[in-house]
Order: sequence, then structure tokens, then C-alpha cells
Amino acid sequence: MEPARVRPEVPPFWVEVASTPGGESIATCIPCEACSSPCPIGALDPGFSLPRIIGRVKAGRRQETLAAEDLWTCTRCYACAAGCPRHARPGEILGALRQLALRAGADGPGPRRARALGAQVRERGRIDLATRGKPSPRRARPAASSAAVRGILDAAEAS
Amino acid sequence: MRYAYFPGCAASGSCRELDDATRGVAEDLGIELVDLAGAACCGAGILQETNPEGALAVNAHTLSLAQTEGLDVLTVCGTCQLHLARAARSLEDPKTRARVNRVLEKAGQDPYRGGVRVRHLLQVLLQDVGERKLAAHVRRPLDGLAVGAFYGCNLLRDPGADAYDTPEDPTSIERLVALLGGNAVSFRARTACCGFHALAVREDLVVRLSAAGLAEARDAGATMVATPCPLCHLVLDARQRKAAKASGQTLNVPILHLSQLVGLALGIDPGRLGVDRHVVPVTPVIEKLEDREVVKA
Repeated sequence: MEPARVRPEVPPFWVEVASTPGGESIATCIPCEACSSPCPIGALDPGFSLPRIIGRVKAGRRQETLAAEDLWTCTRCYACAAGCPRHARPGEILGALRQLALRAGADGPGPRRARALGAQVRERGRIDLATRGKPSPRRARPAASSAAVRGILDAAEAS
Repeated sequence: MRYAYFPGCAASGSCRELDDATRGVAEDLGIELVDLAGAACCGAGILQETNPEGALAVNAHTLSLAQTEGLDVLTVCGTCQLHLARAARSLEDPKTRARVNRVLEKAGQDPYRGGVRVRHLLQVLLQDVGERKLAAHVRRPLDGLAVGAFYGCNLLRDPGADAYDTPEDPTSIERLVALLGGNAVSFRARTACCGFHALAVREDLVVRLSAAGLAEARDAGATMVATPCPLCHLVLDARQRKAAKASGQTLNVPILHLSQLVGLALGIDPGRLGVDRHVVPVTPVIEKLEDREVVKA
């Protein structure tokens, strides 16, 4: 008699995504390609494909999904939701994947920028958007109560 | 009319001209802007990923500051509008609010009781100031100016956007431009993303995206573009040379913040609206307007 299969301790990757804020709708995603057509990045770069990213999740390829740079090529414009026949929210699913990628210690320009901007909010209450090419960009003044913001962010992380 | 004013990071930093113009317009229209001294960044979708619960709590804190003043929040940025309005909507759920209030309490902050509305200047101009009053305040009509209406994406994803517009096929900027005496130019890419959030990773794609949008505006007859979002401004204005180079075409499309466009029509001095801080010169627009007498109110 064959031994009973041991139930894996780790739930499937898509379940982890579904229980991350924004990732809930992955349960309804087929994935069917409909979200590709409204995506402005996909239209310019054939290398960027929402169904492909979500397909990786469904296939359980956790490490590969969370390390991939394309998670960060998404512009957070949320145009993709308009194309979905299942009322899934692919843009929000990508947001959930970025949360998981950050928690998993992902590296690269996208995660580095997200961490840097997150740290700016914690330190100064604001993001410094000063960019080259704009004359005399004054540095954003720290928000008046950046200490309060720090307190709130730390309390949230501890909860 | 009084609002808790939330300029956001861009208008507090690299797009200070947006803050200046908004204050000028508010003063002219008799709108009182109450500064929220303790308000922080809306999270811009980024804090929502690095610390989701913290982002919600920080926005609850901002909303509670407005609540203390007994005011609704006024934003001037598509991204601020989206993330504050989303937070406000989540926080209408009593369970979520109680959970977030426990975080605020732990941090020694007042709780948020719910009910504060978050509204963008575009909505406030059209609905609260109203078409009649706005039209009556126009002292330098924009006639002869072909203004491309560029909404960008985030403003239209605000869960409350359908209270003043049709997010899939918006017309509010066009209506505003018409009230100011200008010739509004509508084009398909007006609801497209400017690409801002992908700048750090794929600037090459972002400039191609903005070049396509600007070329479409120009081909539709726009000689300038107005936007309700400073992040769009940072891409469309500050990176327009790169966009032109990447797409191999001449663009030279002046990009105005919505507040600046309104300010010009109200007859406010262009210098006060900070138009000289842009990368693409706004001079052609100003020269065209200065040919006109300012109608004394």
C-alpha cells in the first residue's frame, strides 16, 4: 500500500497571494489575456505581460515571480481591471506581489526605489520628488509632524 | 467654502508652482484653504506596498486631522486623490476603522471617526464653486487657446470619480476649459498613464509612452496640455525633451497644471503662477493671452 500523501505545510503560492491585501481577486482570474489590451506598458514592451506574470503565480513559481523585474515595470495605472471579464483586479494583484517581493528581500531598481521612498515617508513624512531637468527644484520640506508619522508606521508594523 | 488642503509631496517640493497657483486661484475664488500641519504623504501606492497597514493608518491620521477641523480634504494630485479616497472608503468599514484606530491609539494619535470626503480641485471647481461663479470670475478668457485635456490615470480610478465624471470617457477638464473660454481638445490618450511610477525601472518605456500621448494631443490640434496631476507634469514637462528624442519628433507642448490654467483665466499674474519654473517654455501661451486685455471685474 502506498503511504498517504503528506499534506504540504506550505499553501500554494496563489493562496498566499490571495491572502495579501490587493491579491484577493487572483482566485477569480482565469488568466485569459483580456487585461493585456488596456495595459500601456504591454503595448510598448512585448516582454511585459500581465497574464504571464499571473500564470507564473498559478503555476506556483514563487521565487521566480517575486524576483522578476517586470513586477516593477507596472506603472500602477490600474487600466487592466477594465478589460477583465471576471472582475479581477490584475493591477492590485501585482501590488500584492510587490508586497510579497519586498518582504522576501527582492533586489533591483524597483524594490530599491520602493524601499527608499518608504523610508523617506518614515523619516520626513514626505517623498522627495525632486528630479533632474526641473530648474531649481527646492527640496521638499519635511512634513510638520514627521515624528507622528514615524510613530504611526512603527505602530502599524508592530501590530 | 473651506477645505483641509492636502498639497501632497509634489506640490510641496519639485512642483511648488502648483501649490502657488492653487493658493492664488483659491484666494481669487474665495476658497479658504486650511493647512493640515501634521499631514504626511498619501503613500503614493508605494508605502501601500512597503507597509500596507501603516499607509492606511497614516491616511487615517490625515483624515482625522481634517475631521478635527470639520472639513473635507482638497487634493491637487491624481495619485493623492486616489490613495486618500481609497483609504477613506476602506475606513468607512467599522471593523477596518477600529483596527486602524488601534494603531493610531498606540502611536498616541486621535482616532478617525469616518465620514470625511476627499475631493480633487477639479471636482470642487465644477461642483462647489460651480459653473456660474467660475465663469463670472474669468477676467482673461482663454479664447483661441487649444487646450489638450490630459487626465492621466489615477484621478479616474478614485472610487468617487463617478460623482462628477464618467471615468471611462471623461469630460470634466473639457467642461472646465470651455468655462474658462478656451477651446478644449479631447483625444483618446487623455486617460492614459503618463508612466511616472515606472520611471526608476524603465524610463525608456515611460518617455515613449508620454511621447505617444503628447503627439496624439498635438495631432488633435492641442497647442498646450493641461493636467490635474503633478506626477503627469513631472513626466510630460520635465522629460519632454527625452520623449521628443526617443520618438524622433518635435514636441514643444507646454504643460500646465490645472490650477495654473484656471489662474491664467482668472487674470492672475503668470509669474505668481510659477509658469517660469517649467522645462518646456510656457511663453507662447502667455504671449497669446497677453495680447488680450484683462477684463476688469
